Amino acid sequence: MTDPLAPSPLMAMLRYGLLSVLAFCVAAPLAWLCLASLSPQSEIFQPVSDFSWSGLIPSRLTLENYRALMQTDFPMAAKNSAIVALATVVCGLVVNAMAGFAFAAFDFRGKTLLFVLVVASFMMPFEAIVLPLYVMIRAFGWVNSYQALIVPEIANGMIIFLFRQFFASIPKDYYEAARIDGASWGYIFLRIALPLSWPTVATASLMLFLAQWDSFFWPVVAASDPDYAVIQVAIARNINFEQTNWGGLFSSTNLAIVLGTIPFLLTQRLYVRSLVAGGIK
Amino acid sequence: MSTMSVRSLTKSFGRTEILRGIDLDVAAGEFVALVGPSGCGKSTLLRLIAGLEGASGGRIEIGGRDVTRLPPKGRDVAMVFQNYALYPHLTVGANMGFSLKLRGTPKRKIDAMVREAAAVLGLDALLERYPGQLSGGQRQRVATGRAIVRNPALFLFDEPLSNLDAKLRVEMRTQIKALHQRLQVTTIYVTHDQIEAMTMADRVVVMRAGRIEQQGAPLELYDRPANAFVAGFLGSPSMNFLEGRIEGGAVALADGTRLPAPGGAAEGRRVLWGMRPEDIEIGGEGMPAQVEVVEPTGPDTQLAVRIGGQAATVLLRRRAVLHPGEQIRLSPAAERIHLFDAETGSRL
Amino acid sequence: MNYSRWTPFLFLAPALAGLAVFRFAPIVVAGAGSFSGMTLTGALEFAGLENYRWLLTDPAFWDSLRITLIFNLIINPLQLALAFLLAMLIFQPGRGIWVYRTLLVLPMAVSTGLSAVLFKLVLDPNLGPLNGILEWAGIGAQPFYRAAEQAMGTLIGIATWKGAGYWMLFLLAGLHAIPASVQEAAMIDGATPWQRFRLVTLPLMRRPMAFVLVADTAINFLFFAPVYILTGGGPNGATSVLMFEAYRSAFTFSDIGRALAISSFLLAILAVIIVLEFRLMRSPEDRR
Repeated sequence: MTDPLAPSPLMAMLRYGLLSVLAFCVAAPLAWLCLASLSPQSEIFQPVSDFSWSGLIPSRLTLENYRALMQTDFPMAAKNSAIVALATVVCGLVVNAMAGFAFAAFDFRGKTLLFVLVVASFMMPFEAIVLPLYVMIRAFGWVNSYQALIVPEIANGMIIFLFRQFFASIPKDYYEAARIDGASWGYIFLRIALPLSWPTVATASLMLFLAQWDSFFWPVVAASDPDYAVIQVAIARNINFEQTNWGGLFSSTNLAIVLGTIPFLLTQRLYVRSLVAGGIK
Repeated sequence: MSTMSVRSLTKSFGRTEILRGIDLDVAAGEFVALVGPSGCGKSTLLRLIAGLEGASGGRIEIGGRDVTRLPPKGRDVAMVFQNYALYPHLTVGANMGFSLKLRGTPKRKIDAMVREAAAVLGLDALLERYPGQLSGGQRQRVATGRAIVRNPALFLFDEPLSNLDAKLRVEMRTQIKALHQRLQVTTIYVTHDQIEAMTMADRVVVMRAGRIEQQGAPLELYDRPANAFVAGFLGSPSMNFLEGRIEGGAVALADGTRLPAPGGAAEGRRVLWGMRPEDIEIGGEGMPAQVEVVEPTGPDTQLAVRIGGQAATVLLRRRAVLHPGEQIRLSPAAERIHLFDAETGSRL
Repeated sequence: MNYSRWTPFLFLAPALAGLAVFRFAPIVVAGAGSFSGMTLTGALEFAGLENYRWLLTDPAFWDSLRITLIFNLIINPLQLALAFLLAMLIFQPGRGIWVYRTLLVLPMAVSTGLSAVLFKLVLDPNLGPLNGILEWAGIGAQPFYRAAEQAMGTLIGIATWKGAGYWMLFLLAGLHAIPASVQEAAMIDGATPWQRFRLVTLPLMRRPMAFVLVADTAINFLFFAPVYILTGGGPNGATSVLMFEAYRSAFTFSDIGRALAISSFLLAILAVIIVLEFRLMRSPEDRR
């Protein structure tokens, strides 16, 4: 017997049809890039005038474009990205978790005002302050250095907010019991609060990573020297200089996109939940 | 005011059978309570009647009209939800008038009807408020008001009082019953609270595991439960069950204690001897028992005792001075003894 | 609980110092710097309102402001509408829906710079597959970002490709926050699916939608990377949004005072947007 509330077959078809079209539009460019990066150099592009659908499928799959990468500045850029991302994640976790803990566990003068400032800081997109920050960094003598890329991204209002929300959900009895047993606050933070917060640690890590991964304006301005350029900057630089090593460009772009999406796909559920909680609450 | 009837209604979600063939007839103007433990299918049955879920098999009629395949819109029912489900963005007045507005009733008529319903429930002063500004009891009344305003064929209540505190619950119970007596609309009321069911309904339907175990007038069910499940479900504190064997016209417990039994049960049969806590008195030549806990509540005294090694409860309608460990004798009211088959649980 | 007055601040110090130096100090620097004549060599002199006077009489600034406003007036409602459509399509459970959902949010993990590079390849006038397909379909190859009249549309398309799924997540959370029983109550009250959408869903989605609109606007006022990678502000200044204009002032014309004046201007707009956001974040009970 049919459910009186079940959508009619027509509506269901319309829904899935529309979704398929939209999902295709989203996924097709990525799929094309991935396939093209696995094709022989000569097949990557087909001239617009003699386009054919079959030309989109490589005649054979090859990793030659990826092997060719080793001779470019890609390994250097990958190393830069890895150093920057790792340092940001590690320092960012410690610094922001401590602040989140303080907002959750303690009462102190000016707490509300400080917290409002923290929230405001993550509502202001980083791009807004790139140019004045550049003036400052230049005064510090940090232009073209790792610290220019890492240090400004460590303190992050969104992450502080996430940790505060989590730590505030732990009953204060936990902390009080440990205090009565004679534990120091540092010990309580490191041994009690932080281990309990592993889901937040996971999402915070991904957020810090994605913040670095997604940033473009700042690294272009602060560290465009090839010795310090991160992946996205190195690739954009290559394309802007009309470099014609198409194979290298395709494989590096695809590799960079895949490297960014894998951590996202792995922690998608946790990440989305925290992101949305930060936005709405 | 309409009749409602359900014939061999089934509902499954995937492989799980929620309703396993329900037959139920509700007379016009009758107040029927569906009770049962959680997961028994009572709420699903209500949602099927409302049209919020589709039936897997069987037939639903409202006012003699087959509505099995109709959406809720075509069934002319009104429903009060457990969490009230008020529209948070509309005022109380607009909440109550929403269904009328959807039908294109002229605004002046809506206002008049809303005002009338609001007066019945004492909501006059709240019409301009938003649900977020109301207390739990007020929200409950608004939800009820939204249901009565359009004079539906059938009222459905889905545990409407379970989010209220105990005192308010008793108050609202009385109010809903009074409302029914006044409006005489056919009502189906789902609750897990057997006291609510007993006090409000004309007829109580006890459900378990997707089936109707027994239905009838509240006291009829209380006095002659069809099986041990119904007997145990209705009444608080619930009925005592002692397991034993029929020996020479009495029930013998494992340790040899003998309990009086009505005649007729086959010799040697394993049975549950059932007795409501309030039907036992202390004294006389009854069965020996040991007092374990004494709980005075003021007017009553509740005892936890052991009879032949099995736990039982005794409710004395008076104050009694007793001490844990004390040996007493208990006399059950002979005409109030229930015997059930130990395997099937059905009444003997 | 027992702790010294200083304990909280020991925990807060590193983060607050970081935010103070790298988030709030730049705002002050932008404000102060916009009143100075400063060149990239670092020579600094007080210039009063000179930078602003220049800015306000500079047609390039007004063009850029106009372009930024047009860009925002189009892209923000577009992304909101698309994100809402996606959320409505994804919301109801269904077979395989999680696959669509994952595909639709995937671009948010593709770095902004990389997505611009990707589309530079896809839209290449001579070799890109999209033009190949258009040619094949008989529509003919399009110049996309290389023509003044198509460049802005192309950038909007790319940003929407990346952003729609991201904003969908917030609206999806909003849809999930509407109690199922409220929708059921509307069904019982006799609402058709369309009436339920218009009279229940839409009004209850006002807050999440306003949040998305405001937060998206904050980001799109600062739109930069695709302009930098694809058009360089061109062709003919057609995509020279304010952020790019500021960048060019600093790095092409070494006029850091002008760059900071534009930054200050953008920061002022952002301040308004952030105040709006704070208002939205207050719980609905506060408002009525």
